[in-house]
Amino acid sequence: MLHPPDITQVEHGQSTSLLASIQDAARAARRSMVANPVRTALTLLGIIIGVAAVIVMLSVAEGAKRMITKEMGVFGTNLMFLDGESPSPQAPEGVISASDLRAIARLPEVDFVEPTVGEDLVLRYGNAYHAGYVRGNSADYPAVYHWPTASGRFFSHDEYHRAAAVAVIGHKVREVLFPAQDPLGEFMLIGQTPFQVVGVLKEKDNEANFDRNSQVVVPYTTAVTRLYGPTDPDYVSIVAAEQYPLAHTEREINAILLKLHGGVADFELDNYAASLDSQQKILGQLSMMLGAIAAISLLVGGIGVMNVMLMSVRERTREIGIRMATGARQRDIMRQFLTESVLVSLVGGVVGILLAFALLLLAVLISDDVPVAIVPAVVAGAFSCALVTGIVFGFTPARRAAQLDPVAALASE
Amino acid sequence: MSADSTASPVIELCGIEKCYGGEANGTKVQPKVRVLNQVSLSIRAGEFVAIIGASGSGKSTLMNILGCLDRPSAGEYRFAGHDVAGFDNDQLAWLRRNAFGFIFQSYHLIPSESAAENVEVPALYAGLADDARHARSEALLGRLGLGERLDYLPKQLSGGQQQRVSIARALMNGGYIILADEPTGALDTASGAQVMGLLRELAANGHTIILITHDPKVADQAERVIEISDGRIVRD
Repeated sequence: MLHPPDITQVEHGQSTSLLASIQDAARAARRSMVANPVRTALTLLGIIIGVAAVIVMLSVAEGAKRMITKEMGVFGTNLMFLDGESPSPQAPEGVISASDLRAIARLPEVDFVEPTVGEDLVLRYGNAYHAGYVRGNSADYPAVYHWPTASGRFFSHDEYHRAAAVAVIGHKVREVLFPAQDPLGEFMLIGQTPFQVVGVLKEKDNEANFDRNSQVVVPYTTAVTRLYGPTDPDYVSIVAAEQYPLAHTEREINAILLKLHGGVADFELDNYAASLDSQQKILGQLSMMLGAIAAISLLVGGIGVMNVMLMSVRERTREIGIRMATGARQRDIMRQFLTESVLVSLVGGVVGILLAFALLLLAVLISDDVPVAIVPAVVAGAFSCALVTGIVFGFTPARRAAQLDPVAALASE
Repeated sequence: MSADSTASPVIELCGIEKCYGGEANGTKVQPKVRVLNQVSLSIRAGEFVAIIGASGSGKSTLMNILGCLDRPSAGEYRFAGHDVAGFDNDQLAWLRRNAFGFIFQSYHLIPSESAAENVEVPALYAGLADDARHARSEALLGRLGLGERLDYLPKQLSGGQQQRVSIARALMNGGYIILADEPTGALDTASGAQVMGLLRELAANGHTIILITHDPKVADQAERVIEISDGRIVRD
């Protein structure tokens, strides 16, 4: 009727069902969390702030990074800008002359030399007006700026040399001046001068403070003769050949210009890609630093978890003794307290993620300029950080609980 | 009597000693205290044994050693012929879980858990499936007259009821050997009598009962009385 336990089974032991023991531990954890609401809230707060900080900081950094990457995609990565510059505060700005440009164009490291002259002018067609940046460029414009036409064509080298009165208009210009009709072949007024529209540029993403789609491109020759009068280029875009390192090309151009300008550095060569690249690098470092700060707050949260778990072990010493007397193995006790600390951390993690989303949403609603990119990996990472925090900082208290002497634990309180 | 007196002893103690202190503890050397001195006894399956002694006589220490909560400093403890000294902590836990059921003077129920949950704790560690566990705890509590109070917390139960919950817990995994440490110590006469009745009933059903008490009247209800004084067995 009453069978003695089979002592031969003692070597094999029995395993507590993992699910049942986790359920039991989770139940105990939930009860102790509910029983001490203030303590639970304070513990959670550390984890919540840590997780939310990680997500918010990395999301904003990632958003900024993506904005720069997008910017690089707009113009390509081998574009440089050349401009006159004062060599010293009193000296006049240097002038980039036509012979400078010809010399640079002869360099094998250079694909295109593209001077630009431009101003904001009033554009008119019929009764419609629009203010736009009217720039004189060469027929190489589409190749230099990676900017093809959406309809019609770009002006030809022939039209460039003839200084023909033809214009390629931006997407926005087309929308405003020719809302309901095909602009190709129509004559519009730029300032007081009539130009024939031969093409429409593809729409491009705008820069923060400049509407790229409100431009009109005309032949440089025409701009100089009919719009602005003889003038030096505002700036020169240089497209470096892909097969040479960009830094090498930059050195070559600098060297040849220095020679032509009699050793006076009255010009500035801006490597657009390099500046974006360095911005990118700075941002990368910044986001790493922000991440580190956020990680520290997570660490502080973890210490809070450890503190509470140590307290919990102390408060429940007798319960641990009871569980041991009723046959709990050390690993059962360990599992119980680890489950509890992980549970606390997970709840904190989930709330932290929600808080981060709320903060990011708020930031986006308040200002359009805040770049935000929520990367699932960051959310998952922050969440698993919380999980790992729970395990790491729950480990010591759990081990302490598991190593209690059953007799002493039962006698406590 | 269901006790099979011809069976080989389930528990054999031989020259058990338990000492505390005697080791350097910081700068102080705690005086060495010998709580158990050359205790030898054997208990056969199905026996109802009372261990009686005044407080400080070492009977609680003896119970802790018998129940594998504590290890002796010297001597041999054989459980069903196996030397327990060679068991690791997990194996001792196995014995506590599958061979023993504890009943304590102060019940030792987990305060945050309901009566049924408290009863189920040992089965949880034995890996019993949920349904079987719930069914068994319900049946045990029902048998002990607590079928209506499964979801009560310990503090919502009277002392006698709490002690019955702890008896149900001791029986959860079979309760082959019931170790009862002053089970009636905190109870009024009526509840105490009820608990003793339950123990007698369990003994009649073949459970081995080891009852620890200071009260000769309680001890007299057992078949065999072992008296312990100053860490030695003075009467068996």
